[in-house]
Order: sequence, then C-alpha cells, then structure tokens
Amino acid sequence: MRGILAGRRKPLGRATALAALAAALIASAPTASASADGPTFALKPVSPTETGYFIFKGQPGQTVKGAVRVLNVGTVAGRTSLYAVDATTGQTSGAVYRSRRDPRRDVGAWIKLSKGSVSLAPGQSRVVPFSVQVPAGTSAGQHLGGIVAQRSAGKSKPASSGKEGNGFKVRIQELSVLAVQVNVPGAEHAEMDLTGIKAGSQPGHQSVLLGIGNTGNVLVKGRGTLRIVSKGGHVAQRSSFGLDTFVPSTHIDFPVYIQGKALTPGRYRGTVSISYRGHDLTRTFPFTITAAQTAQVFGTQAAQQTPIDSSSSDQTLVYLLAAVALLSLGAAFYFWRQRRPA
Amino acid sequence: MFSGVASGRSIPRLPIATVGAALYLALIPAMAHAAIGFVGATTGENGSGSASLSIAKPAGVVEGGVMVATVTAAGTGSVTTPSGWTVVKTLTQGSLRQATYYKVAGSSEPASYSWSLGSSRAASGGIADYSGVNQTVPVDAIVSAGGESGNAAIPSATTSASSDLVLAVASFATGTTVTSDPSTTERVDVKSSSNTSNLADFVQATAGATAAKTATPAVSSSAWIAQTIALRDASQATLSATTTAAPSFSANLNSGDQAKTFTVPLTVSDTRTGVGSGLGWNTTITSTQFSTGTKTLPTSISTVTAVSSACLNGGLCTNPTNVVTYPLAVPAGATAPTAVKFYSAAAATGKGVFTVTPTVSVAVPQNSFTGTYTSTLTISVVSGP
Repeated sequence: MRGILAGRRKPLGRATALAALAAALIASAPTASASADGPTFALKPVSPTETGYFIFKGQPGQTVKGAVRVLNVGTVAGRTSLYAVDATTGQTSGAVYRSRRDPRRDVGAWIKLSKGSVSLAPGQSRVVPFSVQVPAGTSAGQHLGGIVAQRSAGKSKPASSGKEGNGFKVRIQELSVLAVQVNVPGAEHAEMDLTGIKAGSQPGHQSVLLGIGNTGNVLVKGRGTLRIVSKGGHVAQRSSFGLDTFVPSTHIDFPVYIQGKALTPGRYRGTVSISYRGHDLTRTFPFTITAAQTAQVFGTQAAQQTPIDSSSSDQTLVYLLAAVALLSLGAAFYFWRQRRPA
Repeated sequence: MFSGVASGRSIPRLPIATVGAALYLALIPAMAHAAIGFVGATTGENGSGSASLSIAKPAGVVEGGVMVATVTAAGTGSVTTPSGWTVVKTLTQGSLRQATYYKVAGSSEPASYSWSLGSSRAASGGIADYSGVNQTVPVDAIVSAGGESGNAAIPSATTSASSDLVLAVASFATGTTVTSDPSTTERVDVKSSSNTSNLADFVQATAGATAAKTATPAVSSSAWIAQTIALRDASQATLSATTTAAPSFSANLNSGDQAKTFTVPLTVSDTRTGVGSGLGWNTTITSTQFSTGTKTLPTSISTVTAVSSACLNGGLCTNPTNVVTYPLAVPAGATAPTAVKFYSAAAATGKGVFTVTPTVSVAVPQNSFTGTYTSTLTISVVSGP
C-alpha cells in the first residue's frame, strides 16, 4: 500500500480531499506533451548507392574511402555528433547498432570520420569524408557497422515537467544511423546454430527464449517454427516466426510469445526448425517452466521488488505534520492577537 | 516564360564587401539547398464544352521533371485521370470540380495529355513543369478550401521540409480573369466559357506554416475552390525521424501493480530519391531503466504493445510493410543495452512521411519507492540491412 502517492494519506477536509483526488486523477493520465521543434539530423551517402547505405569491398590491410552527407532537416540550427559503431543482432533479430559507449571491435573501429561533429542551419548539409581501414588479418565475410548522427546533448529536448515526487518522465533521444557494410573477400559460409530453450520473464507476456546464433560469416535472414510438447505428449504450442537480418558471430535469446493457453509449470520439449539461405536446421531441447517463473510473468512482482523506502514516506509525513503544526501555530497566534485587549 | 524561381538570386552591382561576403558564404563547406526551378507551363480549355480536355506538354520537359496539372470542370462529375498521372486532390464546390495531379516525366512524354470528362462539360486547366522536385515523394503538404463567392482564399499549409515550392491553385465557376496574389508568381491563368483555372507559386524557405494567399477574380460572384500544394525540394531528400513527444505519467500504487501506457509519435520521413529510394528502413529502441537517481525499477517492465502508422503527406505515401511482431520487450538497463527493432518498412515500402506511433506499456510494480522516475528512450532510424 505504500505506493507512489502514499504520502498523501493524511486526513483531509472534504473539499481538499476532492481537489486532491481530482489532481491525482489528472496526474495519473499519461501525457505526451510536445516540446519545441529542434534540429533533426539525417545521413545519406554522398554518391547514391543501390542499397541506401554503404557497402565496401575491402582487403585486409586496405583502406577504402567514402563520404557521408549530413543534413539538418529540422526547423532550427543545431549541432550533431558523428561517430561510428559496430552492429550486432537485436534480441528479436535484425541488425541493430551499438551505443557510443560500447567498445568497438569491428567496422566501428575501422571507420575514421574526418569530423566528429557538425553545426548546421535548417536546410543545410555538409559532406563529411571518412576512411575505412580494414585491419590486416581480418577474417573473410561480411562485417557490419554504422555511422551515427546524434544531436548534441545541449540541444536535446527536455522531458516534460511531471508532478514532482510521484511521476514518471520519459526523455526521448533520436539517432540517425547509416549502415556501413564491409565485405572482406574470401570463402563465404552461411551457418546458424540453435543452442537451447528457456523460459522468458517479461511481465504479463509468457514467452520462451530460443538460443539462436549466426556462426557463419555472412548476414542471413530466415524463418522458423517452434513446437512445444508437454511431458505427457500434448502439443502445447505451435508458432512460426521470421528471423530478420542476423549479423555474423552474434547470438541472441529470441523470444517467442506463447499464444492462447499459457504453459503451466512443468517439463516440456521444444522443437525448433529454422530455414536460411537454403539451409534447414532442426533441434529439440528439453526445458522447464517453474512456478516462480509463472508467478513472475503473471503474478505480483513482489518477489523481484526492492524493499519499500520507508524513509521517503516517513519524510513526507514529517513534512506534512510540520506544515500542519506551523499552520496551527499561526492560527493560534492570530486568534490570540484578535482577542488581546487593545 | 523562364522567369524561374531561382532567377531572383542574381546579384547586380553590389559593394565589394557584400560580394566578398557572398563569396565566403559560397565557399564554406556547409551547403544550402538547391532550389526548385520553374521550367514551363501550358494551358488548355474546351470553350463551351466537350467530353475531354487536352493540355499540351510544356516546353522544356525532361526526364525526372515533375509536372503539376490543375483541371477545372463544370459540374461535379468525376474527371478521369490520364495514364501516368497521380491525383493530388479532387474537390467539388457548388457545380464546380477541381482536380490536381502530378507526374514525374519519363524519358519519353507525349505531346499532350487528355482528361476525359465523361460528358460534354466546359473545362479549363494547365500544366506547370518544375525541376529539382523530389521524384519519390513530390508533395510535402496539401490543404484546400472552398467558397460560394468572392475571392479564393488559398489556405496556409504547414510544410515539413526546407525550400519547398508552394503552389497556390484556384478554380472559379465562371469564365473570368484572375489576379494571383502579388507575393506569388503566376504560371497558369486560363478560362473556358464557364470556369477558370489559376496556378501561381512561391518559395517557402523554411519548414512551417505558409502564408495564406488570395486569388482575385474579375467576376467574384461564383463558387471557387483553392488548393495549396507544397512541392518537396529534391536536395532535402533523406531518411529521418523526429519527435516532439516528452511522455509523462503518474501511477497510484495503492491498488496493486499498475500497467500504464504512453505513446511516442514519431515523424518518419523517407523521401530518398533515385537508386536509393524505396529501400525500406528500420527503427530501433532501447532505454535506460526507470530511476529516481538512487532507486530503480526492474529492467523488464516496458513493452511495446502496438505500433501504428499514418501517412502525413496528403495520403500520397507507400505505406510501410512491417514485419515486427508485438508485444516487444523494450531493453532497459543502467546504461541503455543493445536495441531491438520495433518497426520497419520492407523494401519498396515506407516511402513518404508518416507518423509512426509506438504504444509502450509500463508494468509499474506496487511496492516501488516513492519518487520521480525518469527513463531515456533512444530511438534510431536506420538505413541498413
């Protein structure tokens, strides 16, 4: 019961209570207030490409050159940071791009941009040359990274002002990413791997996680199916799914959400089949759904909660009591002055 | 005829300092936009009426140019679109129909174009040809208005890109002469026995609301229809995403765990042209977990439950074909972990300007600490495999 509004539970007058209730109801409605328009940065190859992003062929030890155009398509002037990152595979498959803080070991480390930031007026653009230095000894295959434009921190849009002390605020950061794919000549092989099945833990949505990896050296896409059978032989789930771009040398726990009746605690066997680039791979894995996992998905989250911050609630109560005491003292002083003989 | 939009840039007899400054601006690496240029215009009318309206191809049309046509016909019956033309908007007011179209010129264009009117109807119209217009998504914005008499009030449109060329199109249900707004350049003014077509243009240098314009007919007692059509500058073609959203919400946790939702409307614009057009795009999402600075909520509480998409540029979009399925867990951590793809446009789809709106559900645990929690959502728009 000590929720976010717990500090309000002091006895109140009817009007005050109604006002507080109204305020609480208003405050509980999610909002998406707009802030002022800002600069919006976009990237595109200077020379048109058939893919819309860069694909270079680079021998180990070779340096190739490119140029990216940075545009401000927003309504006000601003500054953007430019940096390179590695790509990886997102948990739901599909190529995604690592953050600026992540170590760069592949294409992100090979790219040297001639500028780390650019300031542009609305409608302006600037060409930023860059080089891609493929290290000696780089393995053959497709390597993926990207160039990122990120609005400089000083210009980011502020989160809206929620009600202090009992609110949730979401700040949005926008990035523009232009992929850079480097194809290192040599034997290409497409190879995927299936490594296991385990229960997912997303609250409210029961899922199982399929261990899938790209152990080859090329980008692959594919499709798959999952069949789950209970210990008693009952088919508990049949699902099909798509696999978006899978980056070489990456592994994910791919979530498949359980449709229809939830899996009850118990032991199961799951058969996963995937098809990619003309290859088919099928594996069967045993897995267990525990009562704790089911509770985590569907039940209260008490088990994973941090303890109640009683000090915070107590502090609020102390402040309220102090305020009431001050008001009472003030009122007493006022009446004392009123009744005092002139 | 060739008093193009860009012609006003010539600089006659300026002081040396001004010329120096201009040279400096010309030499600095940041590039301003290249303007849309007017190439030529033609008009057509069918007198007191016939079953079709023919308009000649403007002189100077070359492959990749964008022609815009306006057709005004007596009566509210439909007008058949010629092959290769795309309807921008068709409207009726009283006993008048106005239709506008665009066409990206191919390598071979006929000498004229014909609009079938279905029956004998008086009609007038014109074609204006422009260079430098985005061929993939030519139209940035469209608005319209109508009235039963008086001047044509050409409404304000809100453009989303820099250096648009804005067309002020007016039709009147009487054969008359029309004076375009003095702040515009008239390209088409033609009348049949019972209606008139007028088209003028002006440059909107920065994105935002255009000024309303007025087209003044010599005879102002008839119905009128007006359209404002903003053409997108090809030099601004790109893939971008932006939002003005800053969601916030509160949760009363006295009644148990709370599922709160918020949305993040994004404007995703894919106006890339040439060989880079129609390649599709991806959007990805990651986040920092909700935190007061000292207390945090679990990392698994945010889920994208749905994503909607709506075309913004007057319905002239190729809608995205999205393969991402929902629900989709939003990654979260003390620092934002590896992102996941939350919406995508397959190749040959997602061309145009869209509002893409993910709905995010947050499962706020009951026994959370009191405080103000913040989270940063990082949303990327990606051109990549």
